[in-house]
Amino acid sequence: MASERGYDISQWYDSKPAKLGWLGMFAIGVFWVVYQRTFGYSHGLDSMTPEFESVWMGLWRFNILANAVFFATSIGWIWVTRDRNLTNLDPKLELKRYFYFMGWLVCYIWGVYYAGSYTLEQDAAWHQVIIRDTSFTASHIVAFYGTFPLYITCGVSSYLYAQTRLPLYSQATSFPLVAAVVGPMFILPNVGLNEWGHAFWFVDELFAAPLHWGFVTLGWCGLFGGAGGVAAQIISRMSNLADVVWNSAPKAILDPFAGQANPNAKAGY
Amino acid sequence: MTAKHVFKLWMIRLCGVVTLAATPALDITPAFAHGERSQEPFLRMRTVNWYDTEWVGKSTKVNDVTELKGKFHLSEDWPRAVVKPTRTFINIGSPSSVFVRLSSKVNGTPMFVSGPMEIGRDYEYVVKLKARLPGHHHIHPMFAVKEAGPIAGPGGWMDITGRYEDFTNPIKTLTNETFDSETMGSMTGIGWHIWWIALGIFWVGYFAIRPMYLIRARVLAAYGDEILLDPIDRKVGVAVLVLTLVVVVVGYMAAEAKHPISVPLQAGEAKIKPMPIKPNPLTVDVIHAEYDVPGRALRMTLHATNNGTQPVTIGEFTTAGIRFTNKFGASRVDPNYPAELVASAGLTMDNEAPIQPGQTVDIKVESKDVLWEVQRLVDILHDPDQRFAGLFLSWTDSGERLINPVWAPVLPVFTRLGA
Amino acid sequence: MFRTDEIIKASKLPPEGVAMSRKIDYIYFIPILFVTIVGTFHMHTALLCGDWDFWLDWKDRQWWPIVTPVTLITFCAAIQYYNWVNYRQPFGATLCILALGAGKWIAVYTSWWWWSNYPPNFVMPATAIPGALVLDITLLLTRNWTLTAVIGAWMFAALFYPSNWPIFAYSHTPLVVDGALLSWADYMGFMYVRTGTPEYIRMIEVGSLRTFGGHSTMISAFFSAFASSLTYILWWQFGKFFCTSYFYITDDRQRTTKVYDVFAYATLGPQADKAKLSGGKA
Repeated sequence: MASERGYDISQWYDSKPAKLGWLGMFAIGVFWVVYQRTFGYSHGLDSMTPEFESVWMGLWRFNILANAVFFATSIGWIWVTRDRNLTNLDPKLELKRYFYFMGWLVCYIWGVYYAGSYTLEQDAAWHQVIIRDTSFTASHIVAFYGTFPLYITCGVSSYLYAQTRLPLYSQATSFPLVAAVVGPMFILPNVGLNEWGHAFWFVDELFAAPLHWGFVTLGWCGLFGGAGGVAAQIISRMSNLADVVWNSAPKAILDPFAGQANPNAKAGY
Repeated sequence: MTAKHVFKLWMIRLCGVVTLAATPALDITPAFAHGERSQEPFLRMRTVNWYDTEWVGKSTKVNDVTELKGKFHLSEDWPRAVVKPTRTFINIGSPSSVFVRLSSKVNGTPMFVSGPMEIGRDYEYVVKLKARLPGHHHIHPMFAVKEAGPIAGPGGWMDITGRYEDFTNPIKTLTNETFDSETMGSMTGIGWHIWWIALGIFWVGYFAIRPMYLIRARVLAAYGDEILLDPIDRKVGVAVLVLTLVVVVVGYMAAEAKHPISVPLQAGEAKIKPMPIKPNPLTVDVIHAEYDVPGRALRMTLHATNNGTQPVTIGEFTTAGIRFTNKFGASRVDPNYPAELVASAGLTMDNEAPIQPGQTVDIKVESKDVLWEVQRLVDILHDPDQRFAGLFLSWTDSGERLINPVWAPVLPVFTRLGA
Repeated sequence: MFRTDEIIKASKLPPEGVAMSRKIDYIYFIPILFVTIVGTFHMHTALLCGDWDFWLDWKDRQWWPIVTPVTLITFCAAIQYYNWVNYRQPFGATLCILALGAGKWIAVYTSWWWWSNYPPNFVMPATAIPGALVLDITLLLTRNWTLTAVIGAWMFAALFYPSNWPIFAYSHTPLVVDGALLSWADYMGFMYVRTGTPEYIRMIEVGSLRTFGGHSTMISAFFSAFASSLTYILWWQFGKFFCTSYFYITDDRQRTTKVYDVFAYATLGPQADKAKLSGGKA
């Protein structure tokens, strides 16, 4: 393959982790959806029953536990295997790492899709079926306590991956990347507002209610990532790397913070 | 991150998931009610006092029409925390639309839209339902109050047999067409969506087949946009623009021609007169009430006067759709009423004798049953407004039923009296 | 047919670099950009005008033609900003509406139908693709976002009602049930029991006057067009905000400075004198 093209793309490209990560995300989504369809009507209508406690609160406990394990493993692994010699990073390897970084973003954004699109509208559908009698409805257990922590872990992992492996993000703090991770992350605490509202005012299922608008504004922050600053940063950095790799541009263009970064405070952790 | 690592991580998660999924699969207890029990006792006892609820046709075939009907009294003791029923709607609590609701009448007036109701008055509803989805379903009448939310009535089981595939619901319109609610408009709508989505994908795809991001960003940064704005894009753009406008206009005109007669959505208000007030010779007031926590009993002292000409016997106390009867009342309970909502020996009185004409008595009444706990009415202790309300049902010697709404504050008792 | 070769030449990338740029397109365009829009835009729409979009019996003459376009044009403007200003790609609005449609239709079948048993005709979403196409093409033809705000955004909202009428016209057919006149949409809302959505939740037709008789829809569309123009302007600026590409850097004296991202090709290119140094941003 390499000889046919005259170059070896594996030096700067690898999409396998992204594909596997996405498949994993997809699989857990399929599991949740099938679980909800299987046990929604049979065990999910009355939160005061013991079978709700076992089937649905069981899933809740699983979601919390699995997400905690995933968070610890993922963050721990990224941190432990961090690159301690970023100053000598080969530009081709850095290009490859940008593809890995995008792989993390793919997983993160797929999680945001579950939270912001799939489970959200499903929530409107399911709350027409039940008499809403708990904060832990069959819909919320997956949405709030499954998909939210899942994408938060992927988001924080994306951030930490960039910070530990990509020189730009290790030297400086990218405002859009922070916003793209922290904004949607705050959707989880915003559940507190939502449940407080629904707990004290047994209101009907009006989706456009102002009580829900916190989710909206925090969701906008996702645009800093996929359709804004982070994407623009990725494109410009990869362009600069391409110039160094293929157009013999001086390596100095890869160091936009020359003389500004505090080597003691950040470099290499 | 190595591919192997990601794979391993997810395999571990999936194994856990599968194990967990298998556990509840073995637990097939079919006791699935609706979540009405979590509603606060003050909401269930002091708003709507349901009675005579009937789930007509406990087993129906798909396409058969049946009824849910009954009466309710809007409690005089309406809680401060609940918005007054100035805009209400009689709804059905069902696990999705297992029935389609063909009509709903309250005191004979159709209730397609919401309307005000009066506190202290009684209403009779009849909801006509057409069986749609087979299964064993828990169905509630519901009283929804704007800004207060849905208040669930008693739930009863209704079975639907047959196959969903056989369900049809053809309805004749004023324009003499027949619409089936399951399918009408689906194909047309989906067709239009597919067409517009296809055109949208064409438009985006037309740019996506060429290098999209990195290359264009470089050229734009170095040369500006002269090179990037390909003249053919403008031509295709004009063509798509014209096509879009033509299709919108033609589509609109075709739809107008096909459906020349239309009415706006009907957003009026149902004007419903309450049931006339029936003269009631019996007056009942609660002069003292306490809830015995360990004994699971509500104890009341009634002050009752019979101003009529016939002796009256108290047979039942009902609140939140739950019925506490003595022997006399038990014989008058509709045998189809869900047994799990009846405490047939749950009502005891220190004086069971009929109240004679002209007589005024103080009666100590105890409504006692585990239902207080099962139905979570015991949670009254956690209410910020510790009161109760309900209905006393009594009968004259000639068989006439008298209904007396009661309400009072409740005092908790935490130790068994006399123990 | 296309100028692709010329563009690639101007990018000064060797075939290997071009191959890499296409790899970026593949991993970025659908899995990142498109899915980001599905996730965030669908949430935005569901929680700002969702009820009008979910239910057949909410699609009235007064609010639906206003609330929905004004809610939808927001992301269209921001995504247009990003794709146009950085790459001169004129498909931002269409991409947004397609992404929303993807999220919606998956929900229609797997949530509303599969889980909650509502037929698709009852929860049929509206379409905004015609308006989005016009918005994109206006930007392409005028190359000017102010004109797009005035003409394109105006058309975006004005086309909303007529382009949806072929989908929903039938639902305004009158019928009589129990002696009451209803539109078919009203009756659908009545027949398909919604435990969580009693009738009074509907925010429809609440004005005390209908002075303009048969023209009330047009008046709504007219106002909607105006509101959409304003929203477009606001959200074009939001797009700029979301595209901010800067870093904060802390030096050894603990001073924090803002440093903008640098797009080196702008200065390294053969015509450096003509180059824009702002990192490819207009």
